Amino acid sequence: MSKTLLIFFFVFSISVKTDAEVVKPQKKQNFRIRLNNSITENDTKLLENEIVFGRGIASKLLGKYELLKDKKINNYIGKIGTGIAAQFGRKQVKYFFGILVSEEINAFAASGGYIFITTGTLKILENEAQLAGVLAHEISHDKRKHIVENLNLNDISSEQNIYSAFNILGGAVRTALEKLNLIAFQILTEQGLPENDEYEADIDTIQTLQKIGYNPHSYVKFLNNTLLISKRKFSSTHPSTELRIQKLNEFLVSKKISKDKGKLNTDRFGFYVEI
Amino acid sequence: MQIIIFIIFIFLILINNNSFANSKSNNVKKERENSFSFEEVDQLRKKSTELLKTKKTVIREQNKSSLIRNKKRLRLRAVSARIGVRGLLDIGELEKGKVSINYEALSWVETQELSETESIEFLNQ
Repeated sequence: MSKTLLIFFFVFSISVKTDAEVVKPQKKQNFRIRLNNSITENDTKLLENEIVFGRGIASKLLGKYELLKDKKINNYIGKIGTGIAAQFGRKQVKYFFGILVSEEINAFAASGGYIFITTGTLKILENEAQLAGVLAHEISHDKRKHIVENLNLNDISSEQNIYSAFNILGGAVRTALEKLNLIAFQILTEQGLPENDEYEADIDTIQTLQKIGYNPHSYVKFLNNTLLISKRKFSSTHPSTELRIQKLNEFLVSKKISKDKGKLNTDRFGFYVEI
Repeated sequence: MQIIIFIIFIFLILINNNSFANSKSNNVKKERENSFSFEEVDQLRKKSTELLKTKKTVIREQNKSSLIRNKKRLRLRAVSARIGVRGLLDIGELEKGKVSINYEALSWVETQELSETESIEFLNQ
């Protein structure tokens, strides 16, 4: 038995080695170019592919976490989220919002308009302005396609993306896309996005809250609250909260945004969100 | 002298007779050799069918073994191709675990009706 196993591993290692030798750097580069073969953002086919990619990640998230099927809260979050998404100018994308049953304090933006927030996050939110801040942050990630940027495929240009790869037929590309979907899911749930991406989304959040009429400082307050809880259970996918708060405070000061300006809608939030 | 000629004559006759007899017997033998009995034919037929059967089984076994070899090669190629793709994508050290998928929950999320105009009005309230 052990002999046959040894023979199998020997043959297997030889075959793998030969395959690796066949893949030359030039071919690697060509493959990347094919994957990154960009089309303009408004292309409908490209958008469809983005949604398919996002659906894949969303289905995996819902496989990991239980979905809270509460129409009252879901409708409330959906209304707030859709209103915020309209501010981001992606009218061609229909946004969907879901609540995940988890004590983790986290929210996720799968590609293609799928946004999720955990019950753990909802528990520590104090008002509607903070909820709007969290949703705006995730919608910003979605709009900026941060998850795609972090798949290490955009070494040709940051503006290019992988969605056009769906148009390329061939088993290798299809397998590659499924792998990419899995990696995107792992980045969202385990690694988290890089600090710069988080900061970009934070700035977008402050600007959007200000535009809609919410108090932008409420979002910083939320981050402070998460920092206080972080020692206990804050998700490891947002490790640099302290630095983010510092940068946001600097931004608020530089833009001279008053602490008292803007609505909080605490009562309405309390009416809808009962967890 | 006459006696000697007579003896030679008789001797020659005898020799001729013997050679004839021999040739005749040879012919009979040959005829016997060339002719087959029904039993012999049947035995030969049986032998040939057995030979054919053994040949067929040998060919089948050869085909089977070649198929198995090819399958193994295909499997190895498929595995190595996947690894090749993995290498191309710079996956790094991410491990592929078993990820469960829930489309039923996803369809629930997708069926929740949301109006953009209503949402904007709701935000402005």
